[in-house]
Amino acid sequence: MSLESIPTYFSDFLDISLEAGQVILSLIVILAVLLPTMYLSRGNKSVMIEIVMLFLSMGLLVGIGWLPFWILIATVAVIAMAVAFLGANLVTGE
Amino acid sequence: MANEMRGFVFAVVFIIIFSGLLASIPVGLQGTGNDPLDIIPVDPSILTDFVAGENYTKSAFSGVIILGYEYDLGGRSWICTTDETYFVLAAKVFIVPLLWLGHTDSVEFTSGTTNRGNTLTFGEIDEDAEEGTARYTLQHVLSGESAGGFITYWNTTAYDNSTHAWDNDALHLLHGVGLENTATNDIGALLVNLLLLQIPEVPALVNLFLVVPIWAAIIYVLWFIIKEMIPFV
Repeated sequence: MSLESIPTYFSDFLDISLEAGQVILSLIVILAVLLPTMYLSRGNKSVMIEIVMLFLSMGLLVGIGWLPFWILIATVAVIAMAVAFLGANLVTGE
Repeated sequence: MANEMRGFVFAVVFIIIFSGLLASIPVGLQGTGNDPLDIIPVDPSILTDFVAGENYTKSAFSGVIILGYEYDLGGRSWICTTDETYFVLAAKVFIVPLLWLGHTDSVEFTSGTTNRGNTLTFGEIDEDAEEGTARYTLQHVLSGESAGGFITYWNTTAYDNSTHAWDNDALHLLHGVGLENTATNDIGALLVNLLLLQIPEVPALVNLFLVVPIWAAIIYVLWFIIKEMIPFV
């Protein structure tokens, strides 16, 4: 069994569509990475560390074919918006 | 005025961060090229018809039972494997740069209108060959995008078939890519495709949702700059 085929077995086991299986497994992997990171990195600059870990875990999931590439682009867009929002607040002092 | 400045800072930071993060996405994850052109069959003696190519024979392979040969071409890392009855050619998919867990994006071999699938047997090479030369166009199995061309050739006066030539290290395998057939996108192409709603294999509606904030930010920055340059506006 290869990494790419795990969602197929998972979705067959739960009798759900392949896409749903991929999303559920991806969420599990992301949370498995993100929750410990959030716990361990609480405090200064934790958001940046969490963003990096999210980005890496999503890259892994796209790389093994569990998620389509555009999900990564969408995540990039959301992260960029969040950082821009923080940056704008910082610069304008609000 | 403060709100306008805030919007300007937001838009500029958004564009910079978005472009920076997009550029940091590993090459292997950026999908395949968007300009697949048919490889023009070439005389194997004129290898320069390809912009870049890799020519190898049995002696380049190593391993036990399954032989493999790895090389870099067209911005991607490739691996050709064989059990000495068929060939499989695939591009490596890296999780992050330099980290490869064995995931590959294999290609299909097409000779003329005959699709040979992602395994090319010696028998198929013999069937497809004309005067010791068999030419294939390559397409990635998952995306259908072009992966260049593949040519096998051997001296028919010395060896009667490809198996015989292979056994004697005289079966040449040439993988070539043309100018418009590099297998990966660059960041510029990806960004332009995104802005023009033309990312391959992305639903148009998703592409629209992705591109609206980017266009909005670009237009806002332009509007702000123009406004600041013309004081009476």
